[in-house]
Amino acid sequence: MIDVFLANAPILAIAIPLLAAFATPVVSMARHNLKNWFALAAVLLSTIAILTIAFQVYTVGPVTYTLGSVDPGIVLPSGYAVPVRIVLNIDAMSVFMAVIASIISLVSVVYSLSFFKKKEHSMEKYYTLLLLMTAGMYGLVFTGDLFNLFVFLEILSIASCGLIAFWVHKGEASEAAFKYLVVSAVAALLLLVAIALLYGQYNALNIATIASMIQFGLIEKVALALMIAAFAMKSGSVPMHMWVPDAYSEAPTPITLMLISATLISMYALFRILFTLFGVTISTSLIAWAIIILGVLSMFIGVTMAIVQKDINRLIAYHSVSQIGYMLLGVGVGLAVLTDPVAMATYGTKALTGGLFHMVNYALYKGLLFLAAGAVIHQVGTRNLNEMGGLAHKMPITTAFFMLGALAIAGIPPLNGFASKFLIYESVYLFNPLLAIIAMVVSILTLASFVKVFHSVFMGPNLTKNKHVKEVPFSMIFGMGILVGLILLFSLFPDVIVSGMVEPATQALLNQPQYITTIMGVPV
Amino acid sequence: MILESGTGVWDALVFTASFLTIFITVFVASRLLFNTSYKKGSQQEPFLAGNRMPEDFHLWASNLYWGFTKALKRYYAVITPEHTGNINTYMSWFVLVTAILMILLGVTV
Repeated sequence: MIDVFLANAPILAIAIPLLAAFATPVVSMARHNLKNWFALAAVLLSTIAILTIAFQVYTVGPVTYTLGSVDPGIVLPSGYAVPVRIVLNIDAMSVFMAVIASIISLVSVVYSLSFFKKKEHSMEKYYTLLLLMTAGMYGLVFTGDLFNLFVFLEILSIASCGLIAFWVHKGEASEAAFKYLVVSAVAALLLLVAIALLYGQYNALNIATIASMIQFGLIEKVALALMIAAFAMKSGSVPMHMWVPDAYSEAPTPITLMLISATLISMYALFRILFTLFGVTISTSLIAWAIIILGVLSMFIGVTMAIVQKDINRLIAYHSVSQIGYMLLGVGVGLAVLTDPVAMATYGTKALTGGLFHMVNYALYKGLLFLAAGAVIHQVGTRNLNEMGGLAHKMPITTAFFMLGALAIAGIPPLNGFASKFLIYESVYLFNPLLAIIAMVVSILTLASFVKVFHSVFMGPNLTKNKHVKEVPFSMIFGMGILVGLILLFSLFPDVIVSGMVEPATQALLNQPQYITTIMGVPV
Repeated sequence: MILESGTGVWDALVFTASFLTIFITVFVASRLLFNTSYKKGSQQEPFLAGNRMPEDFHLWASNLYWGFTKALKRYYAVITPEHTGNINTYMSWFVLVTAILMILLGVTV
């Protein structure tokens, strides 16, 4: 049994949440409360599958899994020069993202256990969509096939739309979901056009197969532009970021956490397209500069828009846009020096590593901030910062957790946000000092913004209207506690995380030939 | 246990140990050296312009950083109206970015 699980872990990681999603309403009919634990069990089991794959990838190397084949390890059937079946191609970058997604999914389900009222309607649909999001994320990072990437992106987007509109009786939630639906549909449509262009040109959908043949002609340029625009919008990059505060602030808090993960997964797809599909064939540095400029704009406009917000969720959502900018900046610098081995060795790899390390740190502290804000909203019943104050008297644990998240996002040492920003600052400075200075100024503004939030929500006298307020239930504390534990771990031992997880992911992104040979074999 | 950037190093454990040492030293010293005779409910309560602080007195979120936003008034006058909340605006920016990317990549008819 264990052998079967281990041998089929790649597909089980996707299949378990996918099947559990459709089983949840049936389980709910048997016993009302069983669905919560069923969803938790499904996410736990898929997390175990992810960890199993991670162990294989880190100890043995990239893992491939061919669907529909008698032996899933055989990618190329005899007599074929290209793969004809759907192939999951899992390298260190895929596993890195899958681990982030699994942590976030697990925390979301744990937090959801107490977040909703006991008689909340449609909870079976909630867990169905949450599990579909999880399956979509795992599928997207594992697939080695462009059309499958599109399919999993659609599963992820449509499930996200349903969950953003979960509190459908609120007009704003429906509006936010509609906007997300339009944004996602347009992005997916353009991605599909780009995939069709590449399919027409190369008669293949497998990423490794196309990467082994790709040129940089007119068709490929159009496809690349469409893909960058689509995934940049799905990542929430300025100036295509406006859906982020709408969706993040209206979704139930555990779903905001899932949306953070979905955003990172879109960013993964962008990096996969840039580094693995096209790689060094991108003959112009203008695209790297476009990514860098999108990053700088995201950092600055995100943080300055955050400072003036009065809704706690929208404020934190604008900070998400700002943090996305750091990742784009680090990875953009890595892309800019991709064809320059000296610059790549001096600072390019570190910039890329910093950008990727910031992704996991961002998922942790931003998740914590949203959960802590959600805990406050859950107890106080308002998102308006002008109606909050003195909550540290009533909610000391949430206060401590929020402070930790705020210090981490502002890059205050020794927290994990500082460790990744340190890598970005130092490497980006060697590329262009002005960019590093802007990044540091944005960090200061981030701190200023969170001083405002912390003061207005938690400091001050114990307000009369908050007399009824008390600390949130245990499962919400526990959900936040998981993230706090990971933040402390990543803060105190950043080198272990970087050398164990992030640098292998960086190398996997940079090593396009390895990705190709994993599928196509070594050319004779 | 050192994170290297290529040009610098970061040791979180050394920083944390140093920070905790300094923090505990300052905390203990302040307890020993400074007057801690404050008693709650006595006449040492805070006051505002000679008056007792009103109940529920709090520096609300809107009271903060007005100087910052005033100094950047021209910037905010440009940037805020762009966040219309209208999906047409969202799509307009998307089309613009796609077009710029096409131009940068040298896509010509």
